[in-house]
Amino acid sequence: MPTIDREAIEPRLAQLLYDKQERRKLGPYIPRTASEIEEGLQRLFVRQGINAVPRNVHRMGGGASKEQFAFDLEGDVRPEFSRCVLRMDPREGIIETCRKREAQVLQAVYGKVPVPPILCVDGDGAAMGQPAMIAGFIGGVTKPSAGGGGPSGLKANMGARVSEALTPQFIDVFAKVHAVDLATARLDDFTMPRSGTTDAALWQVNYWTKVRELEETDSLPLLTLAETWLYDHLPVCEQPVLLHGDHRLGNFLFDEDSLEITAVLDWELAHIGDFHEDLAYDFEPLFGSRDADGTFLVGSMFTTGHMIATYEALTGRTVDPKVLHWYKVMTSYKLITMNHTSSIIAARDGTNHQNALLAFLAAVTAELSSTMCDLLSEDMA
Amino acid sequence: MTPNPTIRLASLLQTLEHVIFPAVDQNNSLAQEQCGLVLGQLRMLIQHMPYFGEYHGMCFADLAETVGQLPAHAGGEQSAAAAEALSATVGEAKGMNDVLAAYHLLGRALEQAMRAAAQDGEPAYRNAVDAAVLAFSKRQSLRARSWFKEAGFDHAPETLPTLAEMFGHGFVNLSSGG
Repeated sequence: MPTIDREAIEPRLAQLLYDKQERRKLGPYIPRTASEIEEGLQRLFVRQGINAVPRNVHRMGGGASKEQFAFDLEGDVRPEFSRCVLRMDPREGIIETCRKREAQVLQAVYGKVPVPPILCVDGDGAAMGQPAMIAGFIGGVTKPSAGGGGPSGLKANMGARVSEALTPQFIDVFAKVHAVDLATARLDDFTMPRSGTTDAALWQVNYWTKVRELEETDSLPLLTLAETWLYDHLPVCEQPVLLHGDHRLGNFLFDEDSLEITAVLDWELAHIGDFHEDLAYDFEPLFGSRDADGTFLVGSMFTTGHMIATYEALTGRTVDPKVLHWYKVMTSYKLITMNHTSSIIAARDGTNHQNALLAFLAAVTAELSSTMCDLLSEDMA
Repeated sequence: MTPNPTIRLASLLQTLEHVIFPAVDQNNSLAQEQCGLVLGQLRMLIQHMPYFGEYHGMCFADLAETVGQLPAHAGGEQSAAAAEALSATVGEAKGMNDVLAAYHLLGRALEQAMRAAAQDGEPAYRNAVDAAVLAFSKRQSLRARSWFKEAGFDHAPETLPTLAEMFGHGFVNLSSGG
């Protein structure tokens, strides 16, 4: 049996994790005021040669992982930047990600799928104090106004009319993102797993296991059961593709009148890997709901069977049930890890702008654990 | 005696809900969201207050029993050492006053034993350990889902017992083997 390299992690992601351990020593984080943000924006624009002035800076709601501010921009900028969104790292969050990577991937998919345009990036936080990215503002809603639901767009009721209109667009986004030409995409801060190897799967298990190693405060034997199972069953990825990494209900906007998807958001978990990973992520029960007959609906809109059939027809790929199952376990592993480790650490140390939300989200581990038990039972029965 | 902590928390909740939160800027969406989270978390805490000790005790008892019923070790040096350390940790954990800390101490020792069994444990031994951990995890997941039912994430909250039922007198049994 070949030796598994358990330290193989994308270098940029490993660096971010280690940098975070140092940053934690700075202590609690006080959310920025609008005036502090405005001053930072002025510094940033001077540094980057952008001849424009921010106006009407105000904090946006939501954002469990990043601080977000909206503002108007007056000056020599294209019309799509007349209103912008600042997306900035808190000191710590539920996940540790890179604004440079997020901007690179947004630029790679711009024009292929609906995404906000990028104005500029403060990759090391030299101007803003924390790494940040500025994008054009795009309007829309994450769920119908009367759709209810919980934090982060979860458990919303989409309704038949909205579901019918959004379903083909939602699946089409998957196909288009997975079709991005990696050779020309200029994803300089990404590392490409080798085709025809287990790299894509191994790097994922290694990364989230490293997060546990660095940030786990409590014991959860179920996670270690999954960890050993995942290492035992690493699937080969024949052709790595660009993955969104968090494509689900709550992470795209649509226009309530036209029912068109206006923007796919939150690309911070994007990476290069196996297409099954994005599918499995969307099949996580937390990100959907069940209809009156008990059938699971992806994004509270459509069945898993519909998603697979449509995706296969659009891409010519064949979904392998065994690989899909592995990535479902991987999805559970990833989601439990972020809620069970980094989220609790940030809430404990007060290093996030949404400490109360992070402490609340830790409760979701119970539901996610139930799913993981079901998935592992299928294999261990 | 200090006043009942549940009463103290309930008084905070009432003051926040009816006096302080209505005064928060309606246009500050982050602050408005935090108000909702604070109320939700406080309501859950008030529900949990009478049961913290019982909950941690139930979880630890199940974990200790699960570990106690694991089969005798079979395999190489790594798994032998981890199994021996796990046995020693059971005694140490049972002697601790802080049951929550005892749970995590024993849980971590079990996790080390699982990793070691994956390295050089005999297949039958490893399978038995994994099966025991999965069975424990199903019970633990059910307990945790019941504990956090009011958080609103559960797929079938109507199927879960209330906290009073979970810690009741045989109405439901979510402890070991239940």
